[in-house]
Amino acid sequence: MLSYLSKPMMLRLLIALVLISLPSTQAADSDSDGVANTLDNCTAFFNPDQRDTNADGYGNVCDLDFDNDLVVNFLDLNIMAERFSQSAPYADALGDDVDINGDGHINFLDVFYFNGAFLGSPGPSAVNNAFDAATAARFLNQATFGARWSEIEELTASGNMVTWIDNQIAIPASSHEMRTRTLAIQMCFHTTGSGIFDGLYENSRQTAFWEIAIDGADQLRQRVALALSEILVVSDRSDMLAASQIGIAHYYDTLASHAFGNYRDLLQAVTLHATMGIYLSMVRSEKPQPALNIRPDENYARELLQLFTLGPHLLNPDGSKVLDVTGNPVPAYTQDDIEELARVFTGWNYSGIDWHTWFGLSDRTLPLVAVEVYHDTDPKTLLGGLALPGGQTAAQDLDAALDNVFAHSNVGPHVSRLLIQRLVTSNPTPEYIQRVASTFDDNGAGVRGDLSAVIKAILLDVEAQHGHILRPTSFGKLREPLLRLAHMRRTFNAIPVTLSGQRWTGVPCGQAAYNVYPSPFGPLSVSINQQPQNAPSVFNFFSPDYSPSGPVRDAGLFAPEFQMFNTSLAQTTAKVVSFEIQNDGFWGPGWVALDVADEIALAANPELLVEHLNMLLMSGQMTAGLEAQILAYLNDAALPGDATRDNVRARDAIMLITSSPDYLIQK
Amino acid sequence: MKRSTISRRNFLKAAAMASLGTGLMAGQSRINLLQAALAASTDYSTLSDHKSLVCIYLFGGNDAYNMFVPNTAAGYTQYQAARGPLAIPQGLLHPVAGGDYGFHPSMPNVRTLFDAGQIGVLANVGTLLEPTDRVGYLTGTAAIPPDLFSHSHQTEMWQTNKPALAGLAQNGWGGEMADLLQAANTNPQVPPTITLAGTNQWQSGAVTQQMALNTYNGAEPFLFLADEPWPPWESARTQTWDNILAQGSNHLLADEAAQSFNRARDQIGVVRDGLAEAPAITTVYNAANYFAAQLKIVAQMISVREYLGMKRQLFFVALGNWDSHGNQLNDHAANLALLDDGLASFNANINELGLQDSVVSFTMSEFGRTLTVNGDGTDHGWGTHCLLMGGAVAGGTVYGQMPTLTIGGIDDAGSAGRIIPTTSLDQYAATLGKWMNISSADLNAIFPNLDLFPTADLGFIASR
Repeated sequence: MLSYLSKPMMLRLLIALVLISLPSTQAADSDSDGVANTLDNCTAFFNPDQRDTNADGYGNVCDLDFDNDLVVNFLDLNIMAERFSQSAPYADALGDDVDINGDGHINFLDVFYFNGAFLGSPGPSAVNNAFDAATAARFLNQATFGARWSEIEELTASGNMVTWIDNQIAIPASSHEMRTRTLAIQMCFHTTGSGIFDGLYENSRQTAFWEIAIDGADQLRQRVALALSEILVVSDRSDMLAASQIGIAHYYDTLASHAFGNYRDLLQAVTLHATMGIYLSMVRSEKPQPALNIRPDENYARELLQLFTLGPHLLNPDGSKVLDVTGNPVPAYTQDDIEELARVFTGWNYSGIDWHTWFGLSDRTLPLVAVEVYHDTDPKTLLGGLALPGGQTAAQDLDAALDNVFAHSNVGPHVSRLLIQRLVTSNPTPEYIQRVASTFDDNGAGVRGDLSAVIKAILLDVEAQHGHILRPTSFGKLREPLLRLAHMRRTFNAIPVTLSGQRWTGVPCGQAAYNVYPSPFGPLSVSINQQPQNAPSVFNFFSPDYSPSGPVRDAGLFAPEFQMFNTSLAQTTAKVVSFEIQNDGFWGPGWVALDVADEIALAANPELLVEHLNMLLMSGQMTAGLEAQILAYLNDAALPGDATRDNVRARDAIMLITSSPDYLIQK
Repeated sequence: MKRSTISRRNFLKAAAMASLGTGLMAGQSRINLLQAALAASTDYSTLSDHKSLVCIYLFGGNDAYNMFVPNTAAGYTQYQAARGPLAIPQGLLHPVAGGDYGFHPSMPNVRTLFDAGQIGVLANVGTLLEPTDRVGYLTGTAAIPPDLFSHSHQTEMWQTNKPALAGLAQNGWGGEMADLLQAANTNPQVPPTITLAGTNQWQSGAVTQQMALNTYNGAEPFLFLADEPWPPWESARTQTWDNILAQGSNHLLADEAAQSFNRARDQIGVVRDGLAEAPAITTVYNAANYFAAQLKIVAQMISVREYLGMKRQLFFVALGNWDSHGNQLNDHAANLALLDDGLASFNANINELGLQDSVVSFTMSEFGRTLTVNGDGTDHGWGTHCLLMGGAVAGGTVYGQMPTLTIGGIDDAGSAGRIIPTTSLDQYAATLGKWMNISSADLNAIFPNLDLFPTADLGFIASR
């Protein structure tokens, strides 16, 4: 890893050259840059600006033939090498030519354009198989918990994001439940807890999450599962679920196993999951007893409609709200709809125990089971006036009702917008939402709710790939606290702490050693106010419609994660993340550290270090101003002059980058 | 260690320059708007006394009909019939003086404070667009707030006094009051709006930006970037971050992050200096009560109001878990005990500081709950009772109008016991705003529907 950076320039450039092939396309605008192929001076690359410094009709991004000898070869590489690390304004026009992406710097971002172009001819379609590292890094950081350098190199080489996604879909799901169970035993909780009332296992479950987020091969599945866990929320912050850790881990696995399945199946699994049954109190909801003023519980029925499927208001296919004649949104359902649906969801109990037996004795990994005597068998009216006949079983009613809800036209745009917000950008254009929603409605083979197609539509959309160019002042999203930490821990292969014996006391119970990911500032639920499946309520850690007052709101932009970027959380999150970046052992062995050996090895040359971190952490989007500040600091005389200098340089560069506003908005 | 005066000054200069960059147009137009608004309204800069509002938000929807229960023979019978298995046994209630009502068994301290005149009850208040009764609701002739019974929408309406129509978040009535009242404060670095419970809409203002504090020590400097004397390069490192933030960004979200950091660093320094001046107190808070911990910091911030240059402060604290769809008898009792304990400690603390006449605490919650039962809990209702506390409150009294607690009765929006509010949130908030010396004209601007209701002053404030 990174070996090429320590070798001579030419060798480094050469290693970056990889020939790849992609199927050609007959589309009128192959690169989706808004310029038709017949007019496009580079059909292979998204270049809406059509920049062409030497005015030869070949756009710069398609024209690596700097010496105009009609072949891209070592002579052109030499021209680039001579100007490497220069910044605009350049001494001659050739400098501007060599600055292929036109960002004012001749650096690795430009080198990567040689991929596929080498020994070819310049021209609008000459580089029809090219793929740059910035695209790979951007994509991988949307699709994983944090791209590693080796992964960026591999995807840059293959150049095929579709295959990457297909490969990810084929990888079996990691199991949070199995790891939680194993860790609970290794942490000796099985000797201190009942194993049924498993509140002690929270630490095991959190540890399992970090193991899988950092080392799991099924990165895309797990990343989508986290997104789903912020939409179909259950939370152990609720007292009711604090002691259902195995059940919650199983719920997370349910999200992961359906992440590329069908949303209808996922709704079924979620509805009948014991932890959801507890969290939104559907379990043991009974048919009405009017004489006692007792009626079915409305909780799950309401949030299923408001949060998991329809959203509160009628939507157009592009996610915008349908407005009535007075300009107001139109409710997507009524209180009556909720009350009818509440009657549908009656008569469900924990598996394996009686209706009145204490829930703590149940196995919350098993789906709820129907107990017909408690089910409301009267006729019901579903959304759109669909009549549900009387006398049906609980399962028949539930299937029919979920079909009815799932078929509503709101589901596609509502769920699509939420998934786009979690994975790509807080402010998808209506066109982007509509493209994804139409895929939700029909995956091309007549199937509604195919999440694998939806995820592909989200990540491969022109807006996901080029939003930073198309919408340079608004694209992207604030990295939420958990994802800031996950990015560091995965990208830099976090080094856990190995323990044996009871998790806190160290008292042995004859089990093997295990790894944990401790922070000196206590549980993440307190220090950064965020752990997986630990939201304050079913409304998640933040609202999809939040917008801070001021320029962001004035511009009509949503910024959900800013709800977690207040004075206090901005500081505490920075503290938790920066500590791990800075942890070089000075504070003792008890805390997570990051593997930054490669960065320390680069730090003798600050320019190389910053270029590397720019690609690794910011997908090559570092502004010139930020780069200049960090370079100036790395060369500051106040830094140590001895052997510890490169350690300080590497860690401080990472910390300053990850403390910068430009980094914090992933785009 | 504190940031040195010089570096803070440099920092301020840098922040000011940054604000002159990308945000110039938007910022300037906002300032113009504010100045126009101020020109047409009261001059709040001359306020010389100190007053603080403490908003206690109960997330999830408090079942207030079980918090404050009719205790006359007829009243309790009606209550018991409506609530069935969730009715609190009459013998367990803490009756107030006179015996007409009783507080929940978990609230002995609140009852004591009620009888001592330091706590009042505002009955059956809620979100309304105009006075509304059962006939108006059921026949559709009354204008009804949209998205009734939804947590998120009703929370937004309680906190902003606006229906959640636009999609985007809106400013809160606390923030709008703070926009006006900050003229009274002499230190513009610290906002009038301080939250101990995270970002909230109630304090969202057009100009004032709420500051969030933690419940441990209020505020901490940014680790590794605080201009500490060690390591020797921390000064250069901190300066680099200053410079990075001062650059701002053309990207609106990135610039928001930059300005948020700038505000946070500036405010943290000032507030830490201030909290260091807080006098020692003898009032004991229950260390296990997270809600009380928030109030303890609030009391500290009020105690150093003069150091901080504050004449008007608006605090936000919160307690969650009120959404009692299941296991209500146990969960609600536990929550009310936390509320009772926190209120008692805070009241004692404020009294110890001698500031009881300048602090008013009040509760809000997005809705009450159904009188009917769903098995072992309740679902989302509408109107709810609220608590008011402080020396300025004319306590020991029930304000507003106690509803008829009958399923399908004259105050029921249907047949589930979702009680239609008999007092508007507008009236509640305006009464509090008037105490804070918001002018009548400005109250009408903040609460445009206020004129539709019988009175803009519900009378629960004893002194002005």
